[in-house]
Amino acid sequence: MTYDTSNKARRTVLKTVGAAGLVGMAGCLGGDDSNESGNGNGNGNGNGDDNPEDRDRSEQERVPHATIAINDDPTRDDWNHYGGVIPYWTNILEPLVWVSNEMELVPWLASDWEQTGELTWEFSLREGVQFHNGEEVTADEVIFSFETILDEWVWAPGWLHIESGNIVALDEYTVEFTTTDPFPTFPGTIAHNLVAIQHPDRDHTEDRVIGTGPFQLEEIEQHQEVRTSAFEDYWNDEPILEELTFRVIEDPNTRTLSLENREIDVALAPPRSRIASIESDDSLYLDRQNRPGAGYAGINIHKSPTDDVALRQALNHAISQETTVDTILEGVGDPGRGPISPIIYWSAHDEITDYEKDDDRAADLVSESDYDGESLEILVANDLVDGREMAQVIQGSLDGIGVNSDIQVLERSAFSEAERDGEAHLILQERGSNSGDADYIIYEGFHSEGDLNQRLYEEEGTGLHNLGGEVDDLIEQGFQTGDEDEKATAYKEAQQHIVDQAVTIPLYYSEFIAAAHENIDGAELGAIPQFSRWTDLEHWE
Amino acid sequence: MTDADDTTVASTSKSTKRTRLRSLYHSRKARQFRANSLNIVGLVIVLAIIASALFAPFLTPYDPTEQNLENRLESPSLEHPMGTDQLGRDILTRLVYGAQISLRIGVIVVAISLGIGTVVGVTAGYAGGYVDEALMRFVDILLAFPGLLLALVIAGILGPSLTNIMIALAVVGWTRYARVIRGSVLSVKEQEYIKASQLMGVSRVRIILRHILPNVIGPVVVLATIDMAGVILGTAGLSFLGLGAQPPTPEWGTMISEGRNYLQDAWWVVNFPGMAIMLAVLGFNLLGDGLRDVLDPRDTDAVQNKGL
Repeated sequence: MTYDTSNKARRTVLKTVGAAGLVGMAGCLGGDDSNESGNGNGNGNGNGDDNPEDRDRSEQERVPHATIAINDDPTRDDWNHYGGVIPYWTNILEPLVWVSNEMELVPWLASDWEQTGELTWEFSLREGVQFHNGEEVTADEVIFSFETILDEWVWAPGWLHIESGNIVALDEYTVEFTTTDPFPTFPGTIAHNLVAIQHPDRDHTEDRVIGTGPFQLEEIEQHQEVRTSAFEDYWNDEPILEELTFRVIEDPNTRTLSLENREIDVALAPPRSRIASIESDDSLYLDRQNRPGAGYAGINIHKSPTDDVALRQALNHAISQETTVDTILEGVGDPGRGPISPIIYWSAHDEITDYEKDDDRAADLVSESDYDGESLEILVANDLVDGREMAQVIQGSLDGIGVNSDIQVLERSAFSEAERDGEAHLILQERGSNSGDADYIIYEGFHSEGDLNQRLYEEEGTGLHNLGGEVDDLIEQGFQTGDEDEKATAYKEAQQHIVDQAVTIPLYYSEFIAAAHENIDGAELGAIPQFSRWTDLEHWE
Repeated sequence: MTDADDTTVASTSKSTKRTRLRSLYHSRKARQFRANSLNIVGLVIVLAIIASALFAPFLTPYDPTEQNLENRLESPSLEHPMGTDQLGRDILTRLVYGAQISLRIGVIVVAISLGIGTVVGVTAGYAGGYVDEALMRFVDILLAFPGLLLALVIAGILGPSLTNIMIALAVVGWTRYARVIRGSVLSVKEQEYIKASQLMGVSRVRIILRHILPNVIGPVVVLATIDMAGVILGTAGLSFLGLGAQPPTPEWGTMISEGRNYLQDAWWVVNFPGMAIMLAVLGFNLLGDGLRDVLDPRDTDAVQNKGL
């Protein structure tokens, strides 16, 4: 339980800083301490003395309901084809394949699957799974669910690599999918909440969402909340709570305030700036879960002066990931070393060497490079959490090695355009996976024909973060193989090149956090947060 | 010329200047201005803000963008009288440098608005007829949009930067000047002295510049002063929404926007910039009110002067 001690130490220090603040002292010492002690925490689920498992509940009684505040509105009109509720968060709808917190695929509504040909996949359905309306899940409903998605989203055929009509029932409990091209990551791709299985009788005009999940819909109050109740005939472990409400509170500060006022019991994704006070509040605790995502500054390797590898390496030596995570990120997430989070099995985190923070080395590299005082443009999207602060930290660090830079904060769509047009030198981003397949992170970011690089690659033969040649080959090789070891070898080698050529400035590996009241036990955050499960949630009073 | 002559000239001009100042100080309007202590408060606040903007580098030993992550979110102390922000920057320093930005934007936007407004207002008022109709209906259309909302749209389209904020606020701001000036021009151009000049064959440009402008500028000065407050507030508002200053510019609205997540744990990060905005707006409003008391044409002696 090493995490506990470091967490405790940090909390104590943060309290000290707070106290120093109160009496109006300069507080320099406190600041220094918190910098040292913050290292390496923020891992796993450990929460020190706040751990709810250690609490004595013998004096308390179970309360049958709870309220969770979520940041993302599940009742938007976009979800009418699911009966009016997004399949994220609420556990009402479930996919065929689940993703574990180790990012492994778990048989869910499908009990088994296998690749039967180059393009064909056979999925066996779990027998006896009931929909909320009492009917059994058979191949017909699965086909209906997939066809609905393919019909609803123009991008779905490209995403899932299947087309309408390519899904057939072999018998009542077996479905065969034929992909449009060889697609070894098909099971991982459909291990996504948005590919949920539903009954054709769903109807958004009557708030009728018919899934198979442990909670069934009771009532939707648009843009306000979704009320659910336990589904007694759930095929897996039945939920402990009888009623669970999901309330939409989009502002993170308001979510935390509502939690502090006990209007809600769990607040997902509280703001990082509130972490210290949540941790010092005895009635609240924080749950942490590593995510398959990473934050980094992607360097435009095709634009002068960052087309010079010496300069890019210098930039890497200028940044201290530890300091960034400990200060700006308040210890949420782990210091990054590469662009792929280590909870993805093919991450090269353990193999690659870190660019240590070393201003002298960086300054030497800058003078070796062709850099001649140009100002580097740092591009940030306005909705990247703490993006402005990170951009300013990067700017400050670059300043320290004599490299000038300007920050441009843009609204998300303007950002995407500017990014793909190659207008900036450094692009701050957080990339991760929402499904069991994380391959697309490396493909879209670093392959010449990936989403980010494609525009410039096709128009001008350049790109953004694509080294091309061998790296493209390695990524394709990893993408096309169904063999885990082969994939890992190819992807790791590609990452090695990406790090050696300093294509990114890694910053942090993402972590999902939730704040809960001490009377709440058993929240199971998912590595992909939308896969979080609430069946074991308990509420005591 | 000898040195002695020079000195005489200099001292004469100095003494006339002094005499003028003294007579200005004792003038009826100045006395009227001083009579209300709120006017003085406004003047003092505005002068203080101008002074801190001008002498920013001498007022504080820190750099407004220099980070010190080890000392982040430090509460106010002797070393940092207003504490430090989330990146360990001295808030007082950022505030005084921020005053430069706010004042610069205020002055530029008001100057542009005033310029466009005056040209349009005088043209419409003096030319009359279809020109007047066309220009004023255009002004009406612009005025029909809620000011800050239109500025928001313009700044949104142009992309976030301080220059674009200035453009947005100026585009929205000039209409009121045009209206006020046109109104004054309409009444002034009916005066006998204007008629007399026209009869004497004085050119239109000369009539406007020499006889009309000086007589309509009073209410505009008042409007401009109060408008400074509006522009400072508008800039802060747009920057708060992320349409203005790009980090790490120490703009007041941006400081509030970036610090608002720390409101509960580090009150100083947002409250000091908030107070700065409040003081600046209050100062310019008080000063504008004072000037209006003195310069308002509805004032009795002003009415007499204009022969209404």
